[in-house]
Order: sequence, then C-alpha cells, then structure tokens
Amino acid sequence: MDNLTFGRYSPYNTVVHKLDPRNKIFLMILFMVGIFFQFKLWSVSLIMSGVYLIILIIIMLLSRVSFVQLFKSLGSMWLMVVFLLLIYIFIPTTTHKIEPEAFKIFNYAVYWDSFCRAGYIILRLVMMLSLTMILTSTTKPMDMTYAFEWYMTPLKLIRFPAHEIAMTLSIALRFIPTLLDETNRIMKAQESRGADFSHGIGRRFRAIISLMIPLFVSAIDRSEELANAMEVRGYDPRAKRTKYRLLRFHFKDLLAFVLIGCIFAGIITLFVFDQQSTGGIDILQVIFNVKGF
Amino acid sequence: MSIKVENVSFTYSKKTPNSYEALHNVSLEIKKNSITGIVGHTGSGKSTLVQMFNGLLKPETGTITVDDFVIDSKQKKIKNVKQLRKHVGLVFQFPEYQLFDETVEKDVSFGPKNFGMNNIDALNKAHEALAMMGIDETYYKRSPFELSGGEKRKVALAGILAIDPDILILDEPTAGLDPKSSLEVLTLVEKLHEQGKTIVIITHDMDLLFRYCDHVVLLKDGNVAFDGKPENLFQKNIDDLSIDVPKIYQFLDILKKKGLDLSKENIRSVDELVKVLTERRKK
Ligand SMILES: Nc1ncnc2c1ncn2[C@@H]1O[C@H](COP(=O)(O)OP(=O)(O)OP(=O)(O)O)[C@@H](O)[C@H]1O
Ligand SMILES: [Mg+2]
Repeated sequence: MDNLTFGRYSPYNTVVHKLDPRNKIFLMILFMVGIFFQFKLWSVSLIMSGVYLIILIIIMLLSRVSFVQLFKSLGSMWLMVVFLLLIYIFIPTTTHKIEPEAFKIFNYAVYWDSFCRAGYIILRLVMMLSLTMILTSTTKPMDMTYAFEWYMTPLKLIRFPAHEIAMTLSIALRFIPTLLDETNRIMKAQESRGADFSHGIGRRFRAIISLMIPLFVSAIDRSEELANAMEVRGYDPRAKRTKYRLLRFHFKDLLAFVLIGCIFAGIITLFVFDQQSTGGIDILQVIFNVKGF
Repeated sequence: MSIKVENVSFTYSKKTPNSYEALHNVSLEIKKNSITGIVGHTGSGKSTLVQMFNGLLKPETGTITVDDFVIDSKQKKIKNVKQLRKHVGLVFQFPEYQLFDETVEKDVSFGPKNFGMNNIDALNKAHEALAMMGIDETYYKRSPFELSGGEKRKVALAGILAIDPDILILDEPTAGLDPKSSLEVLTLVEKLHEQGKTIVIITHDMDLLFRYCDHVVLLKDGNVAFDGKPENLFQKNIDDLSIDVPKIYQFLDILKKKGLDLSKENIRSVDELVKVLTERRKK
C-alpha cells in the first residue's frame, strides 16, 4: 500500500504549500530543463549535480516532503538501472570521456565511461522524481487542475476543450484517494476470505482478480452516479462559470520566481561557456588516470 | 474464553499529518458462545477493533488473544494468520462489494478453496452455506452482479459462512436491508449461535441489540464507555446520542411504573411480551 501513496498531497502549511500552483508548475519545469543540460566535462556535470541536489534537499526540507517515501519509491527503480547500464555497455561509442577500460568480458572491453553515463542518467531521473514529488505533495489536486486550466486558456481560442480536460483531470485526481481507500477495503474483505496477496503466483493471481473486479465494478458505479448527479444539477461544460478559489500571485511567489530564475540563468551562462570551451582538465579523468586502471 | 483484548491502541496513518488515534487503551473480553453487540457513534472505532480480531490490523500496543492465537503488538508479523482467519470469520460493512466471480456458487466457494479445500468439497460447502442463507439452486449459476442488493448481501454472507468459522463477526449486517431480509439474517445468526458459534455484531440498532445480544460493549471516541448486559446499558441513562432506548424496553419500564413488573421474565421482543401476557391472562 505504501508505495501507492507516492506523492500524495500532505496537508502541511509550509511556504512551498502556499506558493501559487501556476508558479510552482512553471518553476518545476524550469528546474527540470536545467537538470537536463548536458555539459561537456564530467567535472562540471558533477559539480552542477551536487548544486542541484543541495537545492532540492533544501526545498524538500522546507516543504516537509518525506525522504523515506522518496527512497522507498527509488527501490523499485533497480530494473531500470540494470537496463540503462546494459545499454551503455553494449552500445559502442567511439569517444570516451573517461578512457580506461574497467574489465573485459570475452574480449569485449567495458569502459568506466559506461558506468558513469548510466549513473549520471539515474541521478538526473532521481532529481526529476523528487521534483515531481515536491510538486504533488505540496499542491492540492484541485489547485493543480486550476493551474493546468489557466495554462490551457489561450488554447480555448482555437476551440480546444480546456475546461473539459481540466474537469476530467480534477475528477480523476479527486478519486485517486477514494479508490485507494476502496482498494484497501476490498483487499481486507478478500483477505478475510483467505485470499493471499503475498505468497505463490497462482494464489496471488486469484487474489488480485478478486480485488480488481469489485474495484472496477465500484469505480464504474461511482462514475455513473457522479455523471447523474452532475446532470441533475444542470452541469454544462460550455457554460461560463466563476471560480470558488482564486489563484493569486503573492510576494513569495515573486521571490521564488526570482530565485529559481537566477539559478536557471546561471546554469544557462555556464552551459554557454561550457559549449565554447575546448579543453580544460577534467577532474574525474585525472583521478581515473592516476589510479592507473 | 474466546477473545480477550488487553490495553489495545491503534493509530491510523501514523507519522503523517493525517494521523488519527482510532482506539485508545481498549480492554475487553468476549466469552465463548455469546452474542456480543458492539455499539457506538460513527467513527468511534468499532470496525477498527473487529479488524484486529482476525489479524487484518495489528494493534499498536497491547495484546489480543483469540482462543489459541495470540496477537501481540511486539511481534513483527502475526503468527498463523491464515488459520486465524479460518477461525474468525469477518463480514464487512456492505459485503456485497466483495463479490467478483462469474457465478454465485463459484464466488461463495472462493473462501473454502483459499483455505485448502478441493473444488468439489468447496462447492458442496458453498451450496450448504447458500441454503442456510435461503438462496435456492436456481441462483447457483447466475452472475452475482445481476442480483438485487439484498440477495447480494446474502451471497456475500454465505461466502463467509462457507468458511465455517468458529467466531463470526458481522459489521452492521442489517444496514440497508428490508425488514424481511434483516429478520432472515438475524434468525440465521441466532441459529448459528445455537450451533455453538461465538457471535459479534456491530450495530446501530438498539432494538436488535436488546433482542439478540447478551453482552454489549459501547465504544466512545476509541475508549470503552460501557461493558456489560444490554439492560444495564439502558438503565444507566448514558448521555450518548447513539444510544436510543429500545421501544420494548421503554414499554416494560412504563408497565413497571404502573405496577406490572415483568423484569423476571427476560422479555426481549414484542412477540415475547405478547406470549407472557396471554399466559398470565390464562392463569
Ligand atoms: N483507513 C483509514 N485511514 C485513516 N483513518 C481511518 C481509516 N479507517 C478509519 N479511520 C478513522 O478511524 C476512526 C474509526 O473508524 P471506524 O471505521 O473504526 O469507525 P466505526 O466505529 O466503524 O464507524 P461506523 O459506525 O461509521 O462504521 C474514524 O474516525 C475514521 O475516520
Ligand atoms: Mg464501521
């Protein structure tokens, strides 16, 4: 159950929680773009990753996002790690930033470079993951959909169904916790009848069937009820409507915007310099060479 | 001794901002072959308590002893959970939402099969349980999803009965049932009790409680507020909105004030009252 609750909104009242969701989404995207800039030198990438990590940790501490939950969800990433590693090892590249071979498998040279690349990708994915987690656990699902709708407003000009999509999204988000509770309840009910969710493939399969079918049935029932309830209250997606909760851009939003903006500008400057530079000493390279692999 | 609960507490979503203490230092005992009613306000922790009896939730502190099974908060895992669940059958609130198989008989045989019976024996058990619930053969091959609400409830109940547990726990078994169906369910419960099973019923229906239970536990905000005989609960004048003194009890009280003391007769329902009164008149 625990890993299902990844990124679930947690009702604290921190600065990050109080930021405007539109701002939060924008800044998150900015940060993600920053993370995915590729520098020429390993040492620069490494140092920058360190900087990102420190900023992320500070934000996570500020917003009281649980580190335990993050690490738990990382546990399920090992398959991807192996996969990435295999790709980097078996796809031959001619340019190795880090030259020495690690070892040989049947005359096939495996380079340290592959490990570093795979590791770097994983590191960046982890950072993306924690960013998303910060966003989802500090922003109410409803606010998130309001923000999405706001971003999609210009598209209304070309008859893009922005409101409908936002509504669908908000209903879907609204029902995630309900469905999780329902899952929990049905699981318990079936466990009372001896269903076994943890031992043996055959038993597990039967147990999962006994969970999925009632879950689908109740979800479909619920959606029908909801649709009827909306219909009898005269819901019309095309009608003009006002909002109960208004999104406001506060001073702290400006502050966060400027802060992250500055960092992003810094990253871009560095990136430009990095692209223009031709040489330079790579610390990692030096370390590996000295050790004499 | 059947179920013994000692100093049990339980908190939902511990270590999160939503953390909520549903049970606080609860101790009680449920005797073998009794019908115990658990009552209390909505949210008072009744369902939470009974889910511990068959190992669905583990107490945070304290111990629960169910016959030979011991559930201790200090253990990492509950031992012999499977046998415990065979021993203690728990029927959830609105059990009709747990139906899933293609046919009624297959669904009911899910439990026995899980507890190691082969297909044929499990089907026989299912037929037996369905017969007990008054569901006849024409229903066996139908899909459980095309039944009416009451019929679904009965099938779901049969699903637990087919496991043949020694202790049967029912979480609001009559909620949302028509009077005839609830009477059928309760009559069956009484019959199972006569066969020697221990019964625990969660209910908001005080008439039901007074009529069927010989022991009552009142929970209030996760604490035991009363533990004893039903008639004592109503005497006590407990200031709790969830307690609605049964009509028959009120009537007996008025009779008593008017000079007709029937408290020795142990009357629990209108039928019994009529019987006693007609007998007295004959004399
Ligand atoms: N899965 C859960 N997560 C968090 N809190 C829960 C959960 N289940 C129940 N609670 C809370 O614990 C408290 C006790 O719940 P419980 O289901 O035991 O009440 P109850 O006495 O059975 O009520 P009812 O008569 O409505 O069935 C409630 O306040 C409820 O909000
Ligand atoms: Mg309940």
